[in-house]
Amino acid sequence: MDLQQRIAYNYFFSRQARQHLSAQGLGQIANSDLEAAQDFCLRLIRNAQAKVPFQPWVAQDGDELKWIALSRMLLSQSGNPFAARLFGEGLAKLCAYRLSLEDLQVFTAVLSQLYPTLKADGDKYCLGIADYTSGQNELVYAPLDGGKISIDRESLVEMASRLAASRASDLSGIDKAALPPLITEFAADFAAALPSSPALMARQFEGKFLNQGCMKKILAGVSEGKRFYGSMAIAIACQKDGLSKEEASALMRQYVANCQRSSHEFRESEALASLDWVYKHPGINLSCRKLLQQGLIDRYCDGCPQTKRKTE
Amino acid sequence: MDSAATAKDSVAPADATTAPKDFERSKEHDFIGRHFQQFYKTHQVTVPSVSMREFGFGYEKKIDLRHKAFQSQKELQEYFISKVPLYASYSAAFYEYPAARPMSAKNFLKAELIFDLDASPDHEGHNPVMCSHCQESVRADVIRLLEDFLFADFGFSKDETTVNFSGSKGYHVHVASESLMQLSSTQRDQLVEYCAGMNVDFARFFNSEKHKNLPMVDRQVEVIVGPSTASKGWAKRILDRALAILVLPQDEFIAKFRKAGYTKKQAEAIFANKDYVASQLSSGRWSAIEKPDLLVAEIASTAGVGRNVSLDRAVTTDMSRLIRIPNTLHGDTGIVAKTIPFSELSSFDPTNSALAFDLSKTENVVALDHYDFFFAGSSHVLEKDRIAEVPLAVAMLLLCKKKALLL
Repeated sequence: MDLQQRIAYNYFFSRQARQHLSAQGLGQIANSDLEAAQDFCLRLIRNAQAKVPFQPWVAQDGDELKWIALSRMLLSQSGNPFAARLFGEGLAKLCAYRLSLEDLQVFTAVLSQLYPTLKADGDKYCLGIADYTSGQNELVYAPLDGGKISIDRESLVEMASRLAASRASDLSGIDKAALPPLITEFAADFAAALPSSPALMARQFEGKFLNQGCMKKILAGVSEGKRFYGSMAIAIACQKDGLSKEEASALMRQYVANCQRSSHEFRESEALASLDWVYKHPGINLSCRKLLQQGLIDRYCDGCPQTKRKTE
Repeated sequence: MDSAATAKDSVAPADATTAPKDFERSKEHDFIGRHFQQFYKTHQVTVPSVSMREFGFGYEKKIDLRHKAFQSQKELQEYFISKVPLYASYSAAFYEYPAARPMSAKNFLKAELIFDLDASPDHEGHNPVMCSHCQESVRADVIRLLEDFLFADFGFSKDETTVNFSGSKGYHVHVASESLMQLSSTQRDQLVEYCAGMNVDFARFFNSEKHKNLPMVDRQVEVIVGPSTASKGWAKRILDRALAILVLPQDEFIAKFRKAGYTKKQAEAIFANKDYVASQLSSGRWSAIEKPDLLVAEIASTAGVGRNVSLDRAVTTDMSRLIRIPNTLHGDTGIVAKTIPFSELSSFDPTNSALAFDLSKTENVVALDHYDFFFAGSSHVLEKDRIAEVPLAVAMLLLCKKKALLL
């Protein structure tokens, strides 16, 4: 296996991986491919959840790239951003492990694809503002000087794995309507095998809003384009259920962590700004119709006191 | 004075369908319009990449109509001369189809990075006509934004950065670097947060380390390790500020520490050892100072941009915003939104350097209240309901601000 192949097989975000996929294509997708992709996806999710000791491996052929592509299609169809996030994190952990084995030349060759301004600088690495802020790095704490941020190898790998996780779990570019029927059919069983956000799903709140199915669903995380409205809905529910601002902030942070990470970052500060606003405007009511319109729910909850009242 | 505009020169709101319904044609409005028109006949408005920008214009509000586009400078200039907007804005963003609606149909390509600083009039002695305090405080923050943050920390090139006076109280800093044009809204937000020092947990720059085997000390000692001379970014800023406080004269030194929450005795003790404290802090040993968190909190409250003025976060982060076109007139003042060379920024006085209208010509106006202000090096005192002969530039300022009427 030459260097270009090794980079392609091991780093899904690399130019070499894209070239490999576009040259090979996914071919004829069989059930066995989808089963292999499901195994692969669940293995990554388990790795991300740390339910088992982290079990890394190095890819020896291009199969993994196919499984990643199929996993993303299946995840997109399953509508479970929590699982998509874990998948991304698992894949990122794997890439971080593989990067830790690389020599300087390969390490720089791979990471300069994520960070075009990256330069090795002695035992450190230097990168520009645009690259540094492209992940979830907080510029204000960065050792910034003259537009360059100097960081060590370990921090760079951590940064890169966060970015890789975002890219892997960003399913916004997948056109669900265009997916092959076989994937759509397989996705139903696949979805059942995926984990839901356990802590939030099990948690019982005192009020009547946060315990509703719609809120549980939103709290488990939503996809890009819905995250802001989701934060508004949670903020209103928290306020109506009488949660203190501190309790509500903690819940909101969990929500942000559960949401899909994508190329368009959704930051805690954005969600907490919704919370601030709602707590300053306690008269705002929760609108189930809005939740439906925004695609946060696909139907009204059974026995919801809100919709019941309206329909009576 | 002839206040009636000729048919050819008539100043009409742009599109009848889009102009505000309550648009009122008054003598003052015509006067302003005619002079604005004369300005645009003799001053070229130059907009780089004109065909890729969205434009917005205002008559009563800053923006009454937007989603306008022009194919050329000539077409834009003709618009200024024929429609004579009181306020003219363009997008920092470049689009494939700038006139298309809704916003998503414009097809965003890239956007300049903009910082918008404005004065906060909530200070004692604010002058509603022309406030030198507002002007100076914003200008000082613009200089700090440029020197401390954009050039020093961000490393932006002076060649790609321009400063524009807004024509009223604020300033806009434009950065047109290709490497920054693709920054997302979230990334731009990070830059504003950095400059303002907003939402910063300053405790993150400090670590508490426990040392056991210190000479002459039996017990374990907790040492606070913080920014040192090797630090960069905000950590360096905290240290630099602390060191600057340590060299203040005694009175100012004590006052600063008292303001930070130290007792007079504590402040005096630090002053007595200030050289030692400075050398320790430079090495990152912040335990040399009692309660370093108090000093850091005091530094944090003043070190960012926009503590005394308003740094409008939304202008930087919302790439669909429109911003005043440089070198056009501001409808609230009749003053030019002038591009200022860096070398002239520290001494820039808009009432001298950004005037559109003559100071040697005069106009009679009736003030609607008592006004006392300084403009273009002269003091102007106008009594309520009294006729006053003032320079044309001052008349335009008062008429634009709706603080005077024509005779």
